[in-house]
Amino acid sequence: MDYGRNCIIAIALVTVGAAIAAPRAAVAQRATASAHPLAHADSGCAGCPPARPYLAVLSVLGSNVFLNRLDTWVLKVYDPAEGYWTRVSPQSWGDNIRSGWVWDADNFSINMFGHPYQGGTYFRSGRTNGLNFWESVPLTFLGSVEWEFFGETTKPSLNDFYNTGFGGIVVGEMVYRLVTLIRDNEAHGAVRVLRELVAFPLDPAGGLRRLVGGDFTRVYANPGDRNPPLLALQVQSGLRQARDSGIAAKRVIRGLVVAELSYGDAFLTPYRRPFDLFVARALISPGATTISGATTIGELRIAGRLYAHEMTNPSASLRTFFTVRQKFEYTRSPAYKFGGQSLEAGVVTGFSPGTGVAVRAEAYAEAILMGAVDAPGAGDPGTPRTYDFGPGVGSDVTVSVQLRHFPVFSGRYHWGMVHSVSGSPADHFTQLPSLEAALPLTRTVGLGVYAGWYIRHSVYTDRPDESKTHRDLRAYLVWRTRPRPAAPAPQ
Amino acid sequence: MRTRPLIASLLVLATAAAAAQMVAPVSARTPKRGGGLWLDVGAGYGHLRLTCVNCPTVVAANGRAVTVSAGYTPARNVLLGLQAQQWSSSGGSPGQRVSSIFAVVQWYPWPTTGFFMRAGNGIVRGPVGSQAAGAPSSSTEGTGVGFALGLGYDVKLSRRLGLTVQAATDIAALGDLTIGGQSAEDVIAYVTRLGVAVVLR
Repeated sequence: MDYGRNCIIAIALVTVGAAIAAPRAAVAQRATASAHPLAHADSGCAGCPPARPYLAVLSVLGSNVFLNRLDTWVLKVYDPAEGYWTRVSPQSWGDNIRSGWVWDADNFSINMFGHPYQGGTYFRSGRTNGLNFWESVPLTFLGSVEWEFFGETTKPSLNDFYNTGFGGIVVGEMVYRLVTLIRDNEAHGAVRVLRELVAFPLDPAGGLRRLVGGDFTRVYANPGDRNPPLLALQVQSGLRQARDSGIAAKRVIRGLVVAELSYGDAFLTPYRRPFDLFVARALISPGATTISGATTIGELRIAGRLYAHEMTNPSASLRTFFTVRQKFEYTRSPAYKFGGQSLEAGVVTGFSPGTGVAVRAEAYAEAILMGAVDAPGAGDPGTPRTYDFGPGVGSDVTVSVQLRHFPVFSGRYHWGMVHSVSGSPADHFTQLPSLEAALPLTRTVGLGVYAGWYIRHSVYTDRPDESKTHRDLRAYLVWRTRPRPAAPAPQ
Repeated sequence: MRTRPLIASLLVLATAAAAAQMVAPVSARTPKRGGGLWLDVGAGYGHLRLTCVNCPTVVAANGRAVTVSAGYTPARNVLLGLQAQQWSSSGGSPGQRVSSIFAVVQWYPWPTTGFFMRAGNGIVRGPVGSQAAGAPSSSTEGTGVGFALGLGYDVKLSRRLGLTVQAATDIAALGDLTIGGQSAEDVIAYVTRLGVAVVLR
């Protein structure tokens, strides 16, 4: 339950282990890059591990056993309401199987951030054992079921199953692609060790696997899809004024850092496989949370392309793609909380009205598989859960203008309806219009402003409707990397 | 009383499976898959179980489940499609129904056999009612999210026609309902079914 804290401690432990092993690793192998010693001839990629489905399943089980024993033997986790909830036994397993699913009362960060992170570990058990994206999907749900029924004494929670399963796919694939970028199987020496250590906190289970299996220092070929055709990072750093969640709802000014990573480009990256294109945006702001010890990540939004089909001629001036993508959204601002797992289908279109200018628009219809919205009276009274769970529908529209790859304007409108099936009897309608503009000072640096509004209207069946509006203003320095040119596409 | 439909369904299942095994030689059991459309129409025994946060007892009822699934075959061992299902009580109460529509994926882990696993996610809708002993009968309506997990075995009867034995559980979150005149919070419904389906590939 207190998963976020435990995760951080677990990551720290593994990182320390890696640091201890580093001196040995520094004596790097001098071999030239060749195929992985276990790679099958038919794997189609010298750097790709062979498909080991049974090992992947065991790896998922191992992750759960490791986490459970770490919580029980080392951390001795205890909750005043639930006791020593990791001290599982055949009795607790039987009780959980008999009772079936419930909705838990954990706080927002654990349910909407911690569990997707946990699911990502299960997903990467498949990816790092040679399974492809789709073959790894069942593992996130398998890992979640194992943990919910056999890793905790508390009853299995349905919201965890959804958030671990669907969120784990998004987080897992994103992290898998990022750590593949960070790690370089062909490097050696200090650079190699440094890369492995940097990747460790992002993927501790994979890092441990590499350490034990020898891949931590072994020199062999990188996976064929290691380099995306385009990679761009935008960082905003400045100040933010928003209302806090206190009764007085006073306006507070805090610092913020926003990082947005664009992996691939809809117009440059022909669809080949899921998540060959994704955008991840994170907002880190001190005071973004009111629960001590929880994350200060105020916003995390990851949307990855599952499928795309170009509807126009690639040489046309106006190009349009039908796109299906999966999205993970987590927003914990000082004033409101919103999160969920969703699938979207829509179009991406763009044209260039002049040299160096690119105009793009995206419009999606959204199926919210499991959403979470906080509101007065929502959640489970007397517990840390102050939000409702439920499925829903929505739409997501974005228009952006880039000047020589520098984003000078971006407007987004997100609408959603979450039908509560746990918590208050309500339908929550949310809107999030936002505008972002930047003035480039150089080709990579500029000044930017942001204005966003969060509007929630809740329709209850047992009380009058209720609405709330929150404003979020930001001013910042923006830095954007120049998009990295395309790497040779692997055949 | 409740065991009778179960035994009957199991007998039907066993008979159908045995008959199908006799009809199809071993070498022809592997269903024809890979490309094109598919359709399943099935029926069988279904069991409804309702739990909630503040329910003193678990509500359960037996009934019939009818399932229709159709979709596309993107790979030799994967089927994608939609599954519509309706469970209705055998107790005679008109309000005893649970309907669902799921996006499903059916996976044959060992393509040379007919064994498959099916999973899906979608929307579930009541009304559902109470048959708890001593509780007043009432119906209420709820719409929510659910997922389906199941497994089965395909037996080929001809080039395109086959028979499938299926077992599955649909788990649905229906929200706050009124069951037996009492407010029930965070209701979760389980529809477990055993059935036989005719499959067209």
